[in-house]
Order: sequence, then structure tokens, then C-alpha cells
Amino acid sequence: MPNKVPLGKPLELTDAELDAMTTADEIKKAQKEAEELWRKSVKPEIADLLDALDTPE
Amino acid sequence: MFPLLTGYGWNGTRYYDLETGQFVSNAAVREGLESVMDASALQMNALTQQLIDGGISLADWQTGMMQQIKITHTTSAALSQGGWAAMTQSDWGATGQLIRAQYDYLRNFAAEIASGKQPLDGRALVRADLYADAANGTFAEMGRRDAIESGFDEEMRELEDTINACDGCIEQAMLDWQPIGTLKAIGSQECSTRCRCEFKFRNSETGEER
Repeated sequence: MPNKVPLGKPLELTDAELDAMTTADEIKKAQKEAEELWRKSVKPEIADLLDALDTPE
Repeated sequence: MFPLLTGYGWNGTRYYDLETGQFVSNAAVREGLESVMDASALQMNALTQQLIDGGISLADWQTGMMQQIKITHTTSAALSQGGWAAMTQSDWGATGQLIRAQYDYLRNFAAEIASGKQPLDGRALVRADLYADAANGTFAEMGRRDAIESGFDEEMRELEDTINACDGCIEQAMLDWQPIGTLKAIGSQECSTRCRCEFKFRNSETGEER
């Protein structure tokens, strides 16, 4: 049975379009918003965790 | 005189406090991930409720969900890899592939809403929540990838607990140590993205475990 509310159509995304949206460079652009999600979600004690200095042994 | 270092470091395996040198517990890292998934689930829930109420179109809902998926899984991947500074171009690419899979599932979800196969009621809200929880699978897969790069060649599945584990997870855990990359992914069994099993890794030559 169709859903009753006026929904419109879903996005018509091809596989190639999804591929293009998920390249390394495209995903990198989400870093700032991901950082905001992290900071607003976690306890203040670990808010700086994702800014860790990379100091491999 | 050196400035006092504050914040955290990543030694290639674990986070540590720069000032005290103490390691950050796995539990604290996991708690951070759970907090992110909870916050994200709230956003996805709100978007889906707006769709149910007729406040936004299906295309707008899909766009909003994709954005939330992207930032949630990006956060999870970065947490798994040791933070932003430790993310290599290859890590970003691997994160993109995991997000790509979620976009695919979402495209199917949207199509089922459009066709009516997916009723727009509480069941849609529950299904939407799964996309936030799936970030746990991204955390596990990125960790597995890092383990392979670090020379670990065996893996085993550890159950979060034996009482609530699903049959598939129990079967996977009973396989004990297996060649790395051969056990089923976290989130692939009956408990789906609610799965909170973890992988352990071992180097068969040195006996080192992670």
C-alpha cells in the first residue's frame, strides 16, 4: 500500500554518482562537520581526542 | 624551556595523554563512539519523523540522511585510526568506500518508502536508527584494515556478552583464531548494526596481540 503523505520522488542517484560522492577527497570535506559532531557529542574530557598528535613508535 | 604539552597523542596503536603519558582506555574511546552514534541517531530520527509528518520531501530526507551518515562514519573512521592527523589518503579512501555502501542501503530504503514497501511509521524510525549504529562497523573495519597493514595475520571475534549475542555472532566467535579478513564483518549477523562484538588481532609469528 502506498504511503499516504506527499513524499515526492527519491533522489535518482546512479552508481557512478555515488562513487563520485565518496572519493577520498570528497569525504575529506566532511572533516569539519564530523569534528563538530564529535565535540558536541562526547564528554569534555575526551573532546580533544581526534586532534591527537600522530607520534608513531 | 619547552611549552607544556596538553591534549592527546597517538602512538600508532593507542591514544595517550600528552601530559601524563597515560593511555586512554579502550572503554573511553568506545564510549565516545557510542555518544556520537547516539547523537547521530537523534538527528536521523528527527529527519525521519519530519518525513512521516509531511514536513520534508523524500529527496530532502535522503539528502539529510546521507549528510548525517557521512559525518558519523567519518568521525568513527578517524577515531579508529588515531585522529585527524593520522588519517592517510588511503584511510580517507577506505572510509569513502564504507560510506558508499551505506549510501547504497539508503538508496534502497528511499525506494522502498517511495513504493510503499517500507511503511512510514515507527518501523521506518527504527530502520533509520540503524544507519547511525552502523558507524560501529566502520570503526571495526578500519581497525581491521590497520591491523593488516601492521602485520597482524589472524583475527578472532570477541562477543560483547554471551547472553545477548545473536547465533551468528556466537558461531563466528567459536571459530576462534582465523586468517585475518576471513571472519564476517561486525554488523553482518542477525543483530545487524546493533552488534557490539570486537575483533582481536594476532601476529602468528611473534604472538603479539592487539
